[in-house]
Amino acid sequence: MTIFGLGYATRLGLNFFFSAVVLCIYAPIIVMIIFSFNSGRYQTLPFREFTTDWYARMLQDQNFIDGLGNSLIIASSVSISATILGFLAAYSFQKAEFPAKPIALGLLLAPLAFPLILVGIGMRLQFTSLGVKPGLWLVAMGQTIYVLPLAILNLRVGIANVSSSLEDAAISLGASRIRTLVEIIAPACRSTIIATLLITFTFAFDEFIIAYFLTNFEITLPIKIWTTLVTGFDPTVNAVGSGVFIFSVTLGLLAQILLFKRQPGKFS
Amino acid sequence: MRHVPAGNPWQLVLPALFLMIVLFLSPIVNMVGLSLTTSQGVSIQNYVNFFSTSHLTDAMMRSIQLAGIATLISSIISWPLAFFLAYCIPVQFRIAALLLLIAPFWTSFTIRAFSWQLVLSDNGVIAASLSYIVGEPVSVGILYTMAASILGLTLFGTMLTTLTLFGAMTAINQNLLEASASLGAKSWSIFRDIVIPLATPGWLVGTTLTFVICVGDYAVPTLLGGGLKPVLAQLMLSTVKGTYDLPNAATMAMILMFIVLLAALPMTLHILVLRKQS
Amino acid sequence: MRSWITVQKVKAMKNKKVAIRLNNVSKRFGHNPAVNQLNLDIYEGEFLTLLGPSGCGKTTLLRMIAGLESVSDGKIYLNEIEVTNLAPQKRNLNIMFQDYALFPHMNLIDNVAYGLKIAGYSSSERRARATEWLKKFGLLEKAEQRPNAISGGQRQRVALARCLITDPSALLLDEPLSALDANLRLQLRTELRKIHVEQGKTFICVTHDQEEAMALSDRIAVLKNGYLEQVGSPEELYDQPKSEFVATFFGRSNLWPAKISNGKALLDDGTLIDIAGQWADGSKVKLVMRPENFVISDEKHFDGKVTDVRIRGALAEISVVIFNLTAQVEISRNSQTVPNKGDFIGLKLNGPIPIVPVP
Repeated sequence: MTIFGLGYATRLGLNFFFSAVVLCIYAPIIVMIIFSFNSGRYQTLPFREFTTDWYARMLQDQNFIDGLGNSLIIASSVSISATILGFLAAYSFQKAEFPAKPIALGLLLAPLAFPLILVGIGMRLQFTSLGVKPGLWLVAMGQTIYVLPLAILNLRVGIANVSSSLEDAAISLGASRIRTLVEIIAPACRSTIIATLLITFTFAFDEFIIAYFLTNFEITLPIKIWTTLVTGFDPTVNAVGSGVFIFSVTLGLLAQILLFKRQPGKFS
Repeated sequence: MRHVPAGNPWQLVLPALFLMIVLFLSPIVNMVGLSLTTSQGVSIQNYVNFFSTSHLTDAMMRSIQLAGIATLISSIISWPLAFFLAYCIPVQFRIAALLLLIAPFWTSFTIRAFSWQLVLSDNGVIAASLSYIVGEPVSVGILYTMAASILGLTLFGTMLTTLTLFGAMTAINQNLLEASASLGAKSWSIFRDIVIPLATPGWLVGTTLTFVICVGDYAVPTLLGGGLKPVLAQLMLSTVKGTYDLPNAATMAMILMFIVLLAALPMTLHILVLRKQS
Repeated sequence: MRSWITVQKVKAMKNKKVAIRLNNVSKRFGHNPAVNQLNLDIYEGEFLTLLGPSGCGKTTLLRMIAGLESVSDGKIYLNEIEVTNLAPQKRNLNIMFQDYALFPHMNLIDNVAYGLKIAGYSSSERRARATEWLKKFGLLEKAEQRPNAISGGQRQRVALARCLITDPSALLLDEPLSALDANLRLQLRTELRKIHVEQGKTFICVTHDQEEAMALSDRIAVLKNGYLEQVGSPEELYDQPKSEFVATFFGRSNLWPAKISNGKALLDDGTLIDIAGQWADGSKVKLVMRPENFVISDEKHFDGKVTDVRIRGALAEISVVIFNLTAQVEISRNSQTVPNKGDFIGLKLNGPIPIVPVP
């Protein structure tokens, strides 16, 4: 980059600043990971001995296993349903004409610019007044709403990148609209779809506040972590947190890499 | 609607739209109704009560203050970060550097907030290191203060705003920059006259989202700010899960929503103005 | 080959069975007209090209025939049955796109067999028939490869096979050669023509390249701003253009203003020139004089001064100023002596000259 002919000092300053921010972001997490291998009961220096006890304990904790299981099930169903609904909606926005298109798009993207807590409390109040008991299925529905805008935004770009002649070719060969969607367009933007599944999964897997509002006694992994944190400290949280961090970041990075690498579904 | 032989697949938006209406729009309408419900029928009494109860208005002001400061700081420091990523890093490392900065974005607020506890608490890493240097116990006294909450939210906002700002900066046509450089513009004027105006929409999106997410956050104020001086989100949760005073909870939710809508105004206006110009 | 093709063409014309009929077809995008009240009969088995500059409505017209675009006004008939509002899936027409639109996630066999899959053929029959087509097009050893592993020319053949395998009543081609580089284009042009002759199907092609249109087509329909300017065989369009637009679109020509007087064209300097066709006295017209219509001769129509000479292999291009007009003249270097710059020469016109009206 020669456009901004920055002086050596400015360059050094920017480097330093960037590194400082990265350090601020990672330092606490690294501390957490280190503590997850520390035999000491108290979260303080100096470091005692290396141990994997906390991880072993984590796996013996039935609440943890239950929460993890629930979270995996909920996040999977959220990511699959949000991706399917988002794919259909994104396709419709991309290819169809209908009168209230901008309003419909606005409504579908609105949760993105809304505090999560409002989605949670809104659904809680609504379903309480309808006499519906909170439960994990409601959590899944609430989280679907929350990740749907992300899915739509991603998939719209993916679908736009698929040359419309692919679709026209399939249609002129006699394929129905749905068949074209399933057999031609979806495979042609496969990497976007996988990225969307991963991103929506991660968001749902880590989502706490909607789940907290829409459950009474059921446990998801973030709820389990939360209750451990606010009701008397237990060092296994370090192990759980480290595991969740690495899992989520890996999925999120994978999704981002897929999105950055995605190629238009046409030949150059 | 025009008849198209190839079909007009607008119906495919319906499942998503249906879900959004039932699970998002209708709960909001329901909350508006609830917040206007009192024992004497429909009235704005709940709002009057809210604004005449000091611990509620205090919580509201705290929410705004917390989110406002975090948004302000992150919106400023994301400029040099995005600039560094977009213009000072060799192209082949650019995405890797961006991902390095924003990777923790994909993990939960809760875990990141908790990890700061380990660093900031009175027997945390900072305190322990300081007392090791000084040779006697040191009390840091940051954890469970507003400053700690601001720190947590600022880092989150920095990741988010840097991401949107970076997107806007890399979308700027490189030829524009080169053209003005060849016209003899100095670095600073290129930045001021081209990069800033063209990146502003991305910056506004980032700052607005930061504010919206921070003003309604529950995890960071609880884990880092403590519960003694609650924010609106904490009161909403304790009302729903504790006292079951649903109209009151709805009122707080409506006030939070109003704050959010107000905060999104600059971004909306800016986008509308840009659209009109083009 | 050309003569054989001509025989085929004459046969087709004699049958005159209309495969596709466009009846007053119009298309508007919002208020912008793209195609205006267009009437055209396309005969069975012919290679018809829709030709025109970009934005003339040719691709829109092709897409309307395919059913991918709605018709604002008018009717489309396929084998005498109205299909104006029929879904594209139900028209037995296949379209080949400019980018060939091969499905990137399927191998060549699956691409070619896709139409059969939709029609419900068994997997073994699909495979057998697709293999047959790939063999016919010399692509058998690539059958299991993906489209991005083969060359542009091979992609075109796969796309053709995919369209032809379902035995459509007509094949629509959208700029079939424009995705290829110049050398390959010439080669595939011949190949496309050969496939058309072998298959005996109606081919409707869209292009902006007049040379391509001439080389491929039995008939060409020239479009301008959504209107049909002229339709006819390549010879007709070149020899008897009906408008200045068609005259300039096909080959180079010297367009000279003239007035009709006693069945001849009268130039400003008083020269009278034999013309093709009957025109009313006093009409203002333009003469369409092709560079090869001129011969250097003493039995001359004009005197002129040579201002430039350019050698193009066996031909020479000469710029000649004749009173206040400039003529671009093309002569064969074998049969005529090439003059030098600055020479004064006499020019004779060969044959009756076509004339177009001045708009």
